[in-house]
Amino acid sequence: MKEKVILLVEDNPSDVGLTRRALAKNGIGNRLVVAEDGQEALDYLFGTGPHGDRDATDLPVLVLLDLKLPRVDGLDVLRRIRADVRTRRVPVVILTSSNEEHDIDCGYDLGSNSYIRKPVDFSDFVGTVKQLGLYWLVINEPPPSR
Amino acid sequence: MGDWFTTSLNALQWMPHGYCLQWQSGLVATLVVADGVTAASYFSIPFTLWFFARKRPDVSHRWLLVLFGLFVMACGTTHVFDVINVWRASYVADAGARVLTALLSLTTAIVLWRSMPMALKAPSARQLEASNQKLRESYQYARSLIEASLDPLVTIGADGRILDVNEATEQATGCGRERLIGSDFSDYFTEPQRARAGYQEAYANGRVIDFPLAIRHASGAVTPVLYNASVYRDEAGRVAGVFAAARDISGLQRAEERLELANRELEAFSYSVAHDLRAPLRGIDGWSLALMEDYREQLDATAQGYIDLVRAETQRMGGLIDDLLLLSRVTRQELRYESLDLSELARTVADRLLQAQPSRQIECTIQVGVLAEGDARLLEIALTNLLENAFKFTRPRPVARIAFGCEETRQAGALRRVYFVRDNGVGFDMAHADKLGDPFHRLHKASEFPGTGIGLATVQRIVRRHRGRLWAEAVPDRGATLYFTLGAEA
Repeated sequence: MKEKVILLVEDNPSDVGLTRRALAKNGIGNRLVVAEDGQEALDYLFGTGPHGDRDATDLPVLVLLDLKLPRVDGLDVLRRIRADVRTRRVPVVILTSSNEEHDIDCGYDLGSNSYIRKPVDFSDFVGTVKQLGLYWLVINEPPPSR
Repeated sequence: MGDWFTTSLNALQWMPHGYCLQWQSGLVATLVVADGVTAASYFSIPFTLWFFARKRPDVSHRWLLVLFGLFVMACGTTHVFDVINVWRASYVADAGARVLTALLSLTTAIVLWRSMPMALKAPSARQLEASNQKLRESYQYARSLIEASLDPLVTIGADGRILDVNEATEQATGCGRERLIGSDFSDYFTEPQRARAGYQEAYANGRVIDFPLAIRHASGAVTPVLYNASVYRDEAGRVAGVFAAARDISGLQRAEERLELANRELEAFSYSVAHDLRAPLRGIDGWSLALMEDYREQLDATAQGYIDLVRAETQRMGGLIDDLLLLSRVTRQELRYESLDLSELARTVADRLLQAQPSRQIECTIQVGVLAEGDARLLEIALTNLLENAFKFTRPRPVARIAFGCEETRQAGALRRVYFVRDNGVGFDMAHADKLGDPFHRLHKASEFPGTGIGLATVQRIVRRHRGRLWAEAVPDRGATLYFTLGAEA
């Protein structure tokens, strides 16, 4: 049985730590793979570059994607995920600070499954992650793996 | 009578006039020559008049000339009889001629007298010259105004050819007027097709306003302009051509470009605020909480209190950033006008606020059927802020009374709608009312009523963007009413 990995694309170590903490607080035990920029996320997903030896058919159950990233930004990552037949069905949730209309519009236009703005209040964030985990990892029927 | 007539016919019964003159050859000759010359002169006058009339078809009252000609002919005829009568006594025919002359003279005299007002009105050559001079001056004045215009002005015929230009046109195109006049108007633009469409629209609709085009100077330089044109008519009201004026808008365009750049920078700034400033706050809040949760035993009550303060301040700053972002968004967002039921909007907002504060006793009265034209998203933000304030400042009241409605007044025949949100809250001193709507300016202590001071500034901007006005009436400790209008006031 394949590992149900959550791919977190996030460049801010503090945010990575907080997300890790929030997942743990909600008892979400999936392995968290962190990509610190867009290119790293793409390399992981497609088994390229430093992730060349990875089995690319083993897709994460969920991608949590920040928008503002070094090198390749979040919307570009999303565009590439949706453009490739191997990754087009992976659930992608945009998890970001911005609630700019432009970002939300682009996110949905490019095929994001959900758009969540990270609240400042950590207690709220824990609640958000709880619902996120419940919905995407438990309630939602994932695409059948190939 | 009959006898007189018969005898009169027989002219031979009278003596020729020569006998009266005793045939004094000198006298007879003088009279005959004088009468002959007079008659000949008289007879020549109708020819002169006829010649004049033929050469001057524009002269009016030609029947006067005919009458005068006949009168002169008749006069001439009497002189002919004077010559004949010297030798032959044709007094009867002479008498007939004189009667005719008398009638014609009388008619002419009457007609002339009656034509006097007309004759008096007819301008003299000197008067004509003076009025011509005035016309020349007024033409010169109008012409120099046209030439003085900084905007290129042209008149265009129905076929699209230029009929007239001013100096600004010569300068804008780099072509002299002798080349411009008669050439195709559309030749001087970067998009001739559009230029043609422009003056055709003016012909079709009588006018065209702010039609964007670009003039191409002979040197190749391009000037963006807005064309305004309307048809002009001749005295009979027929369309004679199109009069078009171009306004150079390159300065305006540069300003627009600068504005766009500034807007883009503002956008980038807002984005950065939204994204980059909130992220550290999340960290501060999250790790403070982690500290509290993971090291609770090692922290005494004071330390835990400090952490609470850190978190409270962090969240306050988060709220401040959100409010600022909203304020900047409200300023940038494009307005989408539609017909709105403000009552419905206010009801939705109030219900949301009531649900958030179920323990309070609040009487919320919302007048039904309050209509407005405006942007639904922005007006919802405005109503949310106004009602939130009303909810907030009535907190000390056992029963809060909050009302939304509209007062309609007629001002100079125009309907004026003034919308209001009224509460029986703590109010404020009107001495500070002018500070209302300044961002970050607060009329209450943060310890009493928390807030960022951006809410009313946001409302102010929304109302201003709808070309309306926001003002307040308040009595300390009795309540406040916030009024606003939408759309320009008369």
